[in-house]
Amino acid sequence: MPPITASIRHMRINRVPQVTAEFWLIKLMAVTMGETAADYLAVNMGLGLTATSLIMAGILVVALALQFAQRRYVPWSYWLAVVLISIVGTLITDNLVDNFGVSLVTTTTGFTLALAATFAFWFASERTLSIHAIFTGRREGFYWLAILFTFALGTAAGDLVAEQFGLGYLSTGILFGLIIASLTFGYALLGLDPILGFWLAYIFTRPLGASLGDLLSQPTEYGGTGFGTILTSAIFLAVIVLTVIWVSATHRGEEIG
Amino acid sequence: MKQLLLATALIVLPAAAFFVLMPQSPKAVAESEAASGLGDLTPFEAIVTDVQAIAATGDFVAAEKRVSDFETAWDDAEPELRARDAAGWGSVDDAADAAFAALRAGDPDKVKVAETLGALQSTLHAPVTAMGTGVATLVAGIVVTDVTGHAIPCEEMLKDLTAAIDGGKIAAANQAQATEYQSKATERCNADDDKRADEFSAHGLALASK
Repeated sequence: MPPITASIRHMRINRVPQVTAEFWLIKLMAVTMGETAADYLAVNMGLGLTATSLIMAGILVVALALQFAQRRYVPWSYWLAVVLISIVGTLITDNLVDNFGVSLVTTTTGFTLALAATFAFWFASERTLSIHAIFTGRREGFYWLAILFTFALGTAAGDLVAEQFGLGYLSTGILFGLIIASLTFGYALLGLDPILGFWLAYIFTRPLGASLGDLLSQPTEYGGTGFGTILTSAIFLAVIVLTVIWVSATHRGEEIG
Repeated sequence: MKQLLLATALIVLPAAAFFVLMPQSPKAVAESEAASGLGDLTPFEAIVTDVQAIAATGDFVAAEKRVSDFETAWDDAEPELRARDAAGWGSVDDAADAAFAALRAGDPDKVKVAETLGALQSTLHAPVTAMGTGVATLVAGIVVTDVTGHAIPCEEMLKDLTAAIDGGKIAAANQAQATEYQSKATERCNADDDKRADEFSAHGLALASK
């Protein structure tokens, strides 16, 4: 292929996946995997919250460097970055709440503002918030920063609801499932902006995924189904890996801008 | 702006529908639990009143028999009460243990029995909950909260317990029990349930001083 064509293609290929059913499936599974992995390191291995946060942040930097080095959507690299961002976003909230005693109301408000500011700077700089046109390093930077804050916000908001209302895992799952269904309905029939709808769904799948994971893994005496964290994580990891292999093999989710 | 209103409506409406259709308003449950902590403990208070009356006659055998009824009922209620308010449960449990010990001593001391039963009765009446006590909450004599009643990060307490077990600070006879507390605390800590995880860790750490 002549160099000039290559560089044009290079410029315009979207680096992040299309938003499809399998996108949401992997995203939902990644959330739970992320939380379980973080818990395993902090609690079972006895590393503590601070050490785990530092280690995971370090691994995330490596994964993001790998992702930014790709010039198009490469499923394994993209989803590795999402799983790690999910872990780090959760750990940021856990650290603020457990180590620094910041209340969940404050963290929820704070991350809402941080996310709004990210979108404001993104729009001011690029004149678009489109997730279908992530083909520069700067846009990808905004994209990942927004994703980090949606995970932190989703964790804080989900924990806040759980703490305030004392809902069980199943009830919490139903509540957030209803909100996501409503947003889907609004997008399909009421003309909800696709970009706005996407980011809202991205936030609410965090508490949905966490409550589903807890429902499966927690012992029956605490309202779960008692599969245990190891089996639950193994099931979720298997679903992620199989779906990523499938989208890689079929090139699904790619998008030429 | 119109989009933001639409998005807000799409989030608020299903949430409102969810709370209206819930069999019992969870907010009301949360409030009543916050107010009463462990809920209705009057059946337990009634048994203790019986025991106090019997013990006052000096018939410690009958008093011990009646306090066993309390022990059975209390143990049966443990999973539920502990789930509601671990710190409150712990405070009553400790007071009950003291009363059992006084009544079951080889030659029960009348004053000690009356004292411990009185303490148990007042603890049942106002269990020490983790919320807003203004002092650190103790479980099995181990601090589990800071002074604002906020649970100590469960990772920290687990680290201490693991160090105690690995460092051989726990007598061989208690090793199995300590390890069980450790695995229960780990499991609860994984579920971000710091309060109950700390409770288990505290019971494990208490074994180190035995």
